[in-house]
Amino acid sequence: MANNILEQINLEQFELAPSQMWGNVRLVPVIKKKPSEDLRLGLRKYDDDATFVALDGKQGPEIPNSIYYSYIPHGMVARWSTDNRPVVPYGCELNKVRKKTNKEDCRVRIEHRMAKREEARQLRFLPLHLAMEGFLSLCFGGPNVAWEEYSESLLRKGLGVRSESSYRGRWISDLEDALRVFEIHENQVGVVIFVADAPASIFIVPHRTDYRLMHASLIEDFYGELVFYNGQYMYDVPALDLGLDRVRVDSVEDLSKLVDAARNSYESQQTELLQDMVQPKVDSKLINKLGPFSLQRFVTDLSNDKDNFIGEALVRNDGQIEYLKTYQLSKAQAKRGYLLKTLAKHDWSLEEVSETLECSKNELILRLKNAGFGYFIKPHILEAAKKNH
Amino acid sequence: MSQLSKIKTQKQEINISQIEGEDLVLFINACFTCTGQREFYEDAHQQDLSIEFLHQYILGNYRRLYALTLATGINHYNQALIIFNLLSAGVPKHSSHKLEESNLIRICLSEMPVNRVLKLFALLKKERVNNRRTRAVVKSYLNARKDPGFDAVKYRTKIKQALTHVHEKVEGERARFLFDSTEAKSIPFETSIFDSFQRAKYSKQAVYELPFTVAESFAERHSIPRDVFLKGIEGQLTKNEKLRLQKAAAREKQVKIDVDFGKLDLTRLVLYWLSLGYEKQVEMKDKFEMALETQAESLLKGTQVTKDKIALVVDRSFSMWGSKEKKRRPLAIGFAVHQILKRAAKMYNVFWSSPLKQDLHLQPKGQSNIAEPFIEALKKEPDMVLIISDGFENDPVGLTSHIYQSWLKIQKGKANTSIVHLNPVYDANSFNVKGLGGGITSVGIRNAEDIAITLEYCRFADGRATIDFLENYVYQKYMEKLANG
Repeated sequence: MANNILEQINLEQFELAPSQMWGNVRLVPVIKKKPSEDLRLGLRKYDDDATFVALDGKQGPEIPNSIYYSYIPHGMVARWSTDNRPVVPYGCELNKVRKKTNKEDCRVRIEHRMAKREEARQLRFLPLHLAMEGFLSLCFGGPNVAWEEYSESLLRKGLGVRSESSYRGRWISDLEDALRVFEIHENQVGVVIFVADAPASIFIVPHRTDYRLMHASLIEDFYGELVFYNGQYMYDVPALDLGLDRVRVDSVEDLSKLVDAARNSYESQQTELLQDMVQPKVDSKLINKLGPFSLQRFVTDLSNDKDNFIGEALVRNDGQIEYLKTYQLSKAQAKRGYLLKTLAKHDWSLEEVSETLECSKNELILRLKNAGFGYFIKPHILEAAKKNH
Repeated sequence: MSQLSKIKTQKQEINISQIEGEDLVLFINACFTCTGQREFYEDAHQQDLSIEFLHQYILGNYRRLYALTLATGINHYNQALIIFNLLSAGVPKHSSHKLEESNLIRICLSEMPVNRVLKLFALLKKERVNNRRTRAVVKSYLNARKDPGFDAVKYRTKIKQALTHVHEKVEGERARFLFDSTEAKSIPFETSIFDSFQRAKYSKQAVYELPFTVAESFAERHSIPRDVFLKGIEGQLTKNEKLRLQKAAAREKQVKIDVDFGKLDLTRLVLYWLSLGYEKQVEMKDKFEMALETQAESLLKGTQVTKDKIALVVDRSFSMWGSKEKKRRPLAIGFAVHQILKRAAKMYNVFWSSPLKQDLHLQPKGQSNIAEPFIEALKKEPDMVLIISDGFENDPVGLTSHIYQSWLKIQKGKANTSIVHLNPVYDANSFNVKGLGGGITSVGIRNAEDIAITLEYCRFADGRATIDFLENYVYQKYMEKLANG
C-alpha cells in the first residue's frame, strides 16, 4: 500500500497537447485517452459569503477547537466504486430546487471537516482549501519543550491564529479571457496554467466530462501572490518552436510527419517549462481512503532556492494520479513554512536552529519577527534582540 | 498602416500600385466580414475603432475606389458606413466622379433593407450632416418609396426625423398622421393603414391590420394574450419575423407559424437549423434538405464550382461559436458552404477539424486542428482546397502554413490545386481577416450565399494584384449594377 503515497508529481501517464496562448497566459491541455469511470468528481456550488469549517468538531452546538475560515466558492464531491464499475457522478440526480436567497443578505456556511464522508461511497472535500489548511496547520500545536524564550500564549495555546492571503483568479490579468477562449480537447482531463511562462497551477480530474464542467470554475479558485505579480508583466507568451527543420518531406503522404514532429516538439518544450513542478520531492499525507483511491495533500520541502507549492491529489492504488490541484507558494509563505518546520525538527530549541541556519540567536529571533512570528517570543527578549542587533 | 510607411521608406524598390492593391483588398475583406459587433475573441468596441479607422484611411487616400466598393457586394453595415462617410465628406473633386458616386449611393440605398437606411438617416441627423447632397439623397430615397403610408406607420419616428432633417414638405393625410397631434383626433383618415392605426387604439380587430412591430405594442395595450395575438398576426409577418418568432410561438401553447424554408436566405436558414435541438432537427430533416437542394441549385448553377473537384476543410472548433451577438455565425457559414458544395460540386470531400459523426447535426467543439484535415484534403489532389476557419489555429499555432510551404516544395511549382482560406471573422488588430500565414490566400466571407462572388474575388486577394487591375474589377461591378438597376 505504500506505493500510492505521492512522492513526486509525475505527469508521464498523461499527454500534453499543444498549448493555447492568450496574453501572458499559457494553458496546456492535459489529455488522457482512457477516462476513469470508477471515480468521478462533481461540483457543489456554495453561494455563501464565507464558510467556517469546524476542523475537529462534531455536528452540534459545541464550539470546535479549531476553525478554518475562508471564502469557498464550491466543494467537490467524489464518488467511486470498488469493482471498476462506472459510477454516476454527483450532480446527475434530480433534486429539489432550493429557495433562492436574498442577494443582499450576508450568508455564512458552516461545514464539518475539510473532507467528509457523506455516504458509503461519497466524499465531499473543499478543493485547494484542503491543501491550504494543511499548510496553515503546520506545527500548529506549538513547542513541545517549554523553552524560556517563548511567550506564555504560545506555550499554552499553540500558534493560535494563522492566516495566509491569496489572489482570486479574476485578479490575474488575462486569465479570465484565456479560460473563456480556451478550446477544450475531446479527451482533455486537465490543464496546466502558466502565467508569464511560470507554472501557476496544475488541475487534473478523472474524467473528461468532469473537466468540461469544471473548466469555468478555475476562475473562482485562488492563486499565489507570485502568480498575481507575474500576471502584471506586459508580456505576450510566445508560440513555441515547431522544430520542423530536421523533418524530411518528399511526398504528400509524408506531410503527416510534420504534424507529429510539431506536436512532439511542443510536448517536450512544455515538459521543460514544467520542470519546477515535476522534479521536486513532495511530502504527502494521507487524508482519507476512498476504496482503491487515497486522498492526500502534499507540500514541497519549502527550501529557499526553489519554487515551492502545495496541493492535493487522489491517487489510485497503482500510483496513477486521478485528481490533482496545486497552488504556488510565494517566497514569504515558503519562508514561514520553512522556519516552522526547522523549529519543529529541533524540538523548538532556538540555539540548535540558529546553528543549523548559521546565524546568531538574535538574528533568528528577528527573522521570526519579520516572518510574522514575533508573538512567539516574550516581549522583553524580543526588545533585547532588537537592541543588540 | 504599415503599407503607408513602406511607401515612404522604400519608394524606389517596390511597386506602389501593388501596395495600393493590397490596401484595397484588405479593405474589401474587412467590409465583407466586420459588422461592428462582438466576436469570439474581441469586443464590439475594438471592432468599431478598427473599422472606422480603416474607412477613414481608405476614404482619404482612394476616394473613388472607396465609393466603388459599394458595388462589390459588401455587407450592409459597411455599405451604410461608406455612404455616411461619403455624404459627410462633401462632393468629390472630379466632376466625372460626382455622377458615379451618386449613382452608387442611389443603387445601394435601394438595395439595402429599409430599417438600415433609416438608421443611416438618423445617424446623419445626429452627426448634423446636412449638406445639399445629403438632403437630395434623403429626399429622393423617401420619394421613391412605394408605399409611404405604410412606412409612416411602421417607421414613424425615423421617417419623421428624416423628413424634418431635410426640410421636406409633406402634405395631405400623411402630414396629419406624422406631425399633427393637435387637430381633433376623431377625424377619420381615408388612407386605410392610417385608419387602422387610429382604430387600433380602441378596437382589437384593427390591431391585426397593422405591421407586426406596431401591432405588438397595441396588443400589449389591449392585453391580448400572446398566443391569440401570434395566431391573428401571422398574415402580417415578414419572412424573417416568422423565422424569429418560431420558437417563441412554439413555447406559447403550441402555436405554429409556418415558415417557407425555400424562401429564406441560406445563411439564415442554416443559423435557424443550428439553433434547433436534436429532436427538432430530426423532425424537420426532410424539409431542410429539400430547401438546401434548391439553394444549391440556384446559387451555384453554371459556375466553375460545379465542374471542379473540391476539398473543403471546415474548422468547427469552439471559437466558431461566435459571440452573443453573432451566435454560431462562423460555424453556420462553414456548414452552409459544406451543404451546398456537397450538392453542387462534381467531386467533393469534406474534412472537419474534429471528426463529425452525423452530417446534419453539429456543434462547435474541440480545438482548432486545421493542419491534419488540410493534409487529408491535399491527399485527394483536388482542383481546389477551401479552408473555412476564423484563422485562430492552436494545435499547434502556425502549423498549417508550414505544411503549405512544404507542399509547395514537393509540387515544385507544378501545383494544380488552388488553396483558399475563407474567413467569416474580422480581426480588429490586423485590419483584415486573420490569415493562416505562409502565403495562403485569405478572403473574408459574409454570407454563405455569396460564395460565388467570394471565389471570384479570390483572384485578387493573394496580394499580387495592382490597383489598376482592381479598379477595373470594381468598375466593372459598378457597370453591371448600373445596367441591372
